[in-house]
Amino acid sequence: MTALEPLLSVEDLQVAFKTQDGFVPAVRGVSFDVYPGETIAIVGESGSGKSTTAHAIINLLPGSGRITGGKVLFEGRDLSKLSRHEMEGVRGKEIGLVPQDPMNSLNPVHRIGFQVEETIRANGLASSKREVRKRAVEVLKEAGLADADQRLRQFPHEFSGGMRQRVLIGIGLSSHPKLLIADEPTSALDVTVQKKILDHLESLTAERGTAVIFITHDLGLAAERAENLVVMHRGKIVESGPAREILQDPRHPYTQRLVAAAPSLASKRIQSAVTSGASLESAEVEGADASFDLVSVAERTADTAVADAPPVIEFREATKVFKIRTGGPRSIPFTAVDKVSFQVPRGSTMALVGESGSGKSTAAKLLLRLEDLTSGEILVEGKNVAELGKQ
Amino acid sequence: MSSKNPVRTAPHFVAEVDEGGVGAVDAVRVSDRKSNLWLDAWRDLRGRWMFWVSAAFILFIVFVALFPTAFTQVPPNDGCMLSVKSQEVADSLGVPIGTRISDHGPLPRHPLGFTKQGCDVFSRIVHGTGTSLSVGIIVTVLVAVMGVVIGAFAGYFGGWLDSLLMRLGDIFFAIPYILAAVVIMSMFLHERNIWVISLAIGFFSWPSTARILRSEVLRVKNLDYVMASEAIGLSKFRTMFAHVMPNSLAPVIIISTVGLAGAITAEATLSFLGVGLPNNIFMSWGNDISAAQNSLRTAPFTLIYPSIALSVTVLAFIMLGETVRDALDPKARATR
Amino acid sequence: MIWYIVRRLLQGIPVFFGSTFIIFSMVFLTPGNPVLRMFGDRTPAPEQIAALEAKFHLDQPFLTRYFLYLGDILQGNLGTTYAGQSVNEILARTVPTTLRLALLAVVIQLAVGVLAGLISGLRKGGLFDNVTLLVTLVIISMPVFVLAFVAQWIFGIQLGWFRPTVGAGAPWSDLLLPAIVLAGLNMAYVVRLTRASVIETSQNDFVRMAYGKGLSRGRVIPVHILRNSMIPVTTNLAADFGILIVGATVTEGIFNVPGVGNELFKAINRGDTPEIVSIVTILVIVYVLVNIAIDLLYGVLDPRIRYVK
Repeated sequence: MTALEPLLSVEDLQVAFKTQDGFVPAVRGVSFDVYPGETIAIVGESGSGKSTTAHAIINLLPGSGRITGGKVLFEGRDLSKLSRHEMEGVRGKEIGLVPQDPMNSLNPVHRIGFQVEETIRANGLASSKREVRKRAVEVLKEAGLADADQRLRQFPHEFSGGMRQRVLIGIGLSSHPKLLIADEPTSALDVTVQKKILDHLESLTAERGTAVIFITHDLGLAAERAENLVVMHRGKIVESGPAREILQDPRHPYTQRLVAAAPSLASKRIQSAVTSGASLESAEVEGADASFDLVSVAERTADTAVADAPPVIEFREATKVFKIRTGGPRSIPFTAVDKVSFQVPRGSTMALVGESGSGKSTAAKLLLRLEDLTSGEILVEGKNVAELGKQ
Repeated sequence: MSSKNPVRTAPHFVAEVDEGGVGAVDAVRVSDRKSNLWLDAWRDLRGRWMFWVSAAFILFIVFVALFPTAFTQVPPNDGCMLSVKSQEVADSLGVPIGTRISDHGPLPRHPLGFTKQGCDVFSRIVHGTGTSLSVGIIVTVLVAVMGVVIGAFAGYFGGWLDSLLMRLGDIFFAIPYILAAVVIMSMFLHERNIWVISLAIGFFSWPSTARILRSEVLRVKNLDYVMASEAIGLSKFRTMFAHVMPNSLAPVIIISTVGLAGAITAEATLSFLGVGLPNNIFMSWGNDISAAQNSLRTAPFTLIYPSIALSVTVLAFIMLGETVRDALDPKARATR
Repeated sequence: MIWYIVRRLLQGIPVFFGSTFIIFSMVFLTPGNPVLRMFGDRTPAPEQIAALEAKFHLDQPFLTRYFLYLGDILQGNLGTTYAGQSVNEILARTVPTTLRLALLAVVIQLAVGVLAGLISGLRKGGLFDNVTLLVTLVIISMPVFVLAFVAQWIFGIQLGWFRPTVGAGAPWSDLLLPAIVLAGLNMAYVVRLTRASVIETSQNDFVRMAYGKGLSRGRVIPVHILRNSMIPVTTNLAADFGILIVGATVTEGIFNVPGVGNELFKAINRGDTPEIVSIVTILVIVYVLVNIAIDLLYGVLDPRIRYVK
């Protein structure tokens, strides 16, 4: 599979936005290549121009944006010069898009099936009603959704964020495009979901030989998933090259700062520091998985705190149940905090860690009596919180 | 690392370090323009021609309402005659004695002609301004006060009081206010004055304002910093008051300006139907238009001039409302 | 979905009773003898007073009166007017005409209004946009009777394109001018709402995604942008209907359309308070029902609200 020609070749791309103060450049001369089947990641902070570059490739800039210079050569054609009609033909069929925010990227008033099927029809994959339906089911199955048949009839708000993103990935890949642009495809999702989705995306694109452009602000994630990196800052590329090389030997000062600050790389460093007794090298840390025992680390740290001091804060089987109205006559009880017990010794700092929906904010509110307990107790300095006045 | 086999070994490119490099990342550009809803709104308004035109016209209307005699010396109700009876009058008007004045065209000192009753159209229009404006203002104030109080109570106390008040709002909202006003005015034949008509119009118009206040109060109630300030011991009421007031002022202003236009229209409509202000005591454009209906074919101007006055007044307030709304609503500004 | 319907209907019940009760109270809680007030300036004969007192069950306590009155209305027992005609018969004759007029008005309003709003929204800031905004602004500032007279005068009398008043049987062609007037009343809001909605929807992520997956403009605009923009327009239909009721009263009066509005118009003109009260009560009931219907329609358009309180 040695290709000599790049699939996509961006040459000195310039994009500007029209504002009240005139044209503001967002992308100032960006050039890079993407070869068939390879995955590259464009990394940068918000405002660096990475998203804009990606959207400019398929001419999906918001109303005030314009390509002011350069070329976007896809299989030899300059996409920036195509007519609207021609561009519509390229989008979806040749170049797919997986957008950033799964919550808002699906039309809430149409069923999922409707939105998948219209893509299939628009990209000419099938025409008869039954064929289209069959393909839609296939798309959802490939995206990893069980009960594809039922799912087609549901509305977006009935899906979780992860499921919606899968649908979007499915739609993006539905016509087997040669290139997929994935714009921060998982930044809106929880960490555990992220990994599953990215793995799935990787397997799909590897299977089909789809080239992928990943847009992300997370250098660690980029390095993990892409062979080559492009680092952008303030509309320009500051460094680009093989991912491994850049991670191990960042040469531009900006890249160096990014490497130092990347959150996923930081957590890997913590992991590697704690388990260093087992002689793991930092480069192989990526094997560590979710079964990593944070609780044991916390306990060990806690042991080193002042062991004899009485706890300042203590949760004893604290429980909080919310009643959620479903729109019918009954309401479903929802247990946000379920018999949680822990102690915080004086002078120590404890972090409540959890994903969204784990109940950590509710627990904090229970402590401050911004919400009331359904059962159990919370003690502050030995006194029950419920008995203290509003102060 | 990615499990794919790399297709190629990409060149490692490093850009030149420029512009002070990394330091630029840290520098935060401090905006030199102070951002504030009211300041921004004023800046926005200043640039709109619609604002200036409507504001100027409204000031003019207020002036006319306060000082009608500056515009015409002719009394609107006295001295109406169906035909010229005395030589003296005939001379002053420049027409022969016995001329039918009813529905007559313009004459010296009577630039817009005469109504069917022989009264001066221009004078009636000038004197009718005050009526429309008074009703408009009273209704607006009434609705604002009722709406704010009820909405705030509903939002702040919540619970059953909230449900009750909102249900009440739904009920009042379900009655088209002009129909209700028709019924009220029908029953109060002898007590028809500006206050009664204003009450009749305004009494059913509070739900919209109340809902705005209530939603603003609810929104503020759930804000993080209200909870935070409650957590550190500040009175919830005081915090909410400080935050609800400025935020809700904008939508209330918007809805009130448009409401004012609606109130003027309502009074005119009621008068037109015959259940408005009694014609002998109050000048009302609606009354004039109603009286001129049958002259549509013969003397259309008796109907058209008061219509123009009415429409232009309402238009001025609606234009003002539009520009104010665009200036105060950040989302609307994005859509301009 | 079922629950949404049930909930909405349940919510409608207190509104139904509440609003009719308020109308009733406005009439019968006035100081003095309400029946005497109804006669206005006339001096009625004792039999007439007695007749009205019986009709409104003045011998009963207040609350009972209300329920009896409500029962009368709902059973269609509306008595007779001054002129001795059966109110039932009048309504049966006039309601269909008004319905036809209202239907025509709504169709015109939506067709023209939504189209204008769509174009304005898509070409925001353009010439069409600015002109439309200005024109709609001018139209809404004209009270209904002004609009009606102007239309009647210009198009009926001066230009002669339409008959100035509606002929017997109210053929559709005669209803066109009054329907246009009625449509004009709220058209400005329809245009603005559609425009704002279109602008806001166009900026949504899912619109960008729609283009991103390869859909053409010809598909995205009607299926995604317009379809989503119709939601606020539908909500506005409810308030629209309230304006239509009042507008119809005046318009039918001016154009002499033989509908319910005209009956109300004439009743107000001659100060026939009992009939005014009866017709207004019926109109309020109709308004409540229409509101419920529109809310249900909203549930069809926006599936999200079927599941939320």
